Amino acid sequence: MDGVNRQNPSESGPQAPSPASRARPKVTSLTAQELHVCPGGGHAPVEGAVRDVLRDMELASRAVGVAPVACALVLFESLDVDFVAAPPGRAPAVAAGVKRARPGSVVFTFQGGPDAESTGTGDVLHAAARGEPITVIHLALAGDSPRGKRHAPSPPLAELVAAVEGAAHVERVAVSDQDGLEELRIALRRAFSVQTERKGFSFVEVTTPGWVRRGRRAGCLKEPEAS
Amino acid sequence: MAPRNKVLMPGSRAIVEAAIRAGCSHYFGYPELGQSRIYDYMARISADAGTYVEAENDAAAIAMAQGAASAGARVMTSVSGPGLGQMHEGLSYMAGAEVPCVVLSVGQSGYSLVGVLPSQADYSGATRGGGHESNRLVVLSPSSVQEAADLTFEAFDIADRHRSPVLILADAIVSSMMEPACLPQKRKKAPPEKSWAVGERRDRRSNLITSLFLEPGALEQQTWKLHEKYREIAASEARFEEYRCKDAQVVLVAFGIVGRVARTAVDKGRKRGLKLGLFRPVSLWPFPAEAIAQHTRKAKAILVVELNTGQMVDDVSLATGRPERVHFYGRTGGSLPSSFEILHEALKWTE
Repeated sequence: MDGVNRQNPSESGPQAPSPASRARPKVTSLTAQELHVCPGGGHAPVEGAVRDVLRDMELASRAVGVAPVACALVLFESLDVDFVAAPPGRAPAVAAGVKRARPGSVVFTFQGGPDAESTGTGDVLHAAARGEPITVIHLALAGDSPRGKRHAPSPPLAELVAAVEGAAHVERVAVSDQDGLEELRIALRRAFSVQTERKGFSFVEVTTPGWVRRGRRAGCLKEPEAS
Repeated sequence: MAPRNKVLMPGSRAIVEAAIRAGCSHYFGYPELGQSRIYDYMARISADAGTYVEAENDAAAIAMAQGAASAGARVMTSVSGPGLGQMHEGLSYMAGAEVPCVVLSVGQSGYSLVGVLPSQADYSGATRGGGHESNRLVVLSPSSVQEAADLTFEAFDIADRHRSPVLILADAIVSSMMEPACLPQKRKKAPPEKSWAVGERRDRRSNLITSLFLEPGALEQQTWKLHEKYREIAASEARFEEYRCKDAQVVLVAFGIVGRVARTAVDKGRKRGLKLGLFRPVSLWPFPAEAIAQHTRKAKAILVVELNTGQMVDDVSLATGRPERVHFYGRTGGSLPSSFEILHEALKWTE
């Protein structure tokens, strides 16, 4: 069995949205699958940035993505690279195993919210400590993940990773407009270059909105009673 | 073929040497009391251009093994006793995604923190898959240093042949004891190419290694597909040893180190004129059901002896078809029965 049956990338497949400022080349790293992401969550633009960078750096043919749970899993529906689905929190460990077996591949994880901040914090830190030459992409959600709001506080992951001696490159990017997306592409290029130039462990944290639940309204819901 | 020399060595060393000769190129492990010798010996894999990584815990070790195996490498990890529980999720992922791997588990006593005494209390968890959904693991149980080497060497082929994880349950005594053994010849041919694996790709489509099937009907399709695979494994990979069962009135059924002790009990009983025999499952899953039914057909009684509270009894009762004949004797918490103890128990069922 050659992996799970995929639809081949279509030459006449969907084009990426064209900013008014420049024309975009035809997409070659997308599959023809439908996407399943929450509206407004911020996942799709990040996924698009990863796709763009892998294509521009000509890494798609040797890229291996490792995706654990929830939104991250839809990445392999749309991104036409090799993928391994990892247990919750374990993506950096799985990625390290892939890289050790295939050092010529470019291995990255794509982890949303609780997966790296909660379940798998130890895995990220230990992969960094060992200097595993992988790239961890962490979506830090400002809102909810599909698992619902977590009430327990989480450690500031990027700061923790930066403090680990084995981490070669740690960067945080906030994405809420096109400029942010361009910064993200630059950050991803830097991170993947750290891997291809064999400089060690790279980490990119992307602040995204997360899932905005329907029915929630902005505005003041309660005020203190007048005394 | 020139005769191979026997060398005195501990079971742990035999296991490591056999794995390396079978083409194991990657080892990921966490140092634990029960399997520390395997963990230490395995460091020599790096002398043969292999990769050896100390993981931060057992869950990370099995995750790393999953990654390397998904990339096509022959991979091993090792664990002891209750640590196997941390690996069940990773093994379930690999079984569901059809990724081959060899896991060496040293059976050690204890509900929680691993002790140093032997145990066979992982039988149920191991043979019932231990993970989630409907997965199974091939489970092999050696009872000598030689068998530990032979089964480890073979395990990698079994795993690749069926694209399924293989668990070797070597109780603590087999892993620690020293016996003369011949190590298998180093594999000359490279392991088979795995077109389904991930990594740099030239002329193939992208591969997806996953055990997640979200589309309606897809998971059911996968589970029945694996079910069919497990039926094929059951038909081809059952292993056992029978000793003097042909005219036995009482057949002892035991695996691992207890199988060795039970064999001595059979010899002592025979010297006293008692018709005893031994059926020793070598594969705990697939359980050698047809063979045990055949070799116990004429026995008056079947005595299952284990280092637990009777986890194999149901399998023996089901396979032999007459549960009223099946009896049990066990020791737990690290205690090991002597051959006289087993013989004394067997005497209850002889005329």
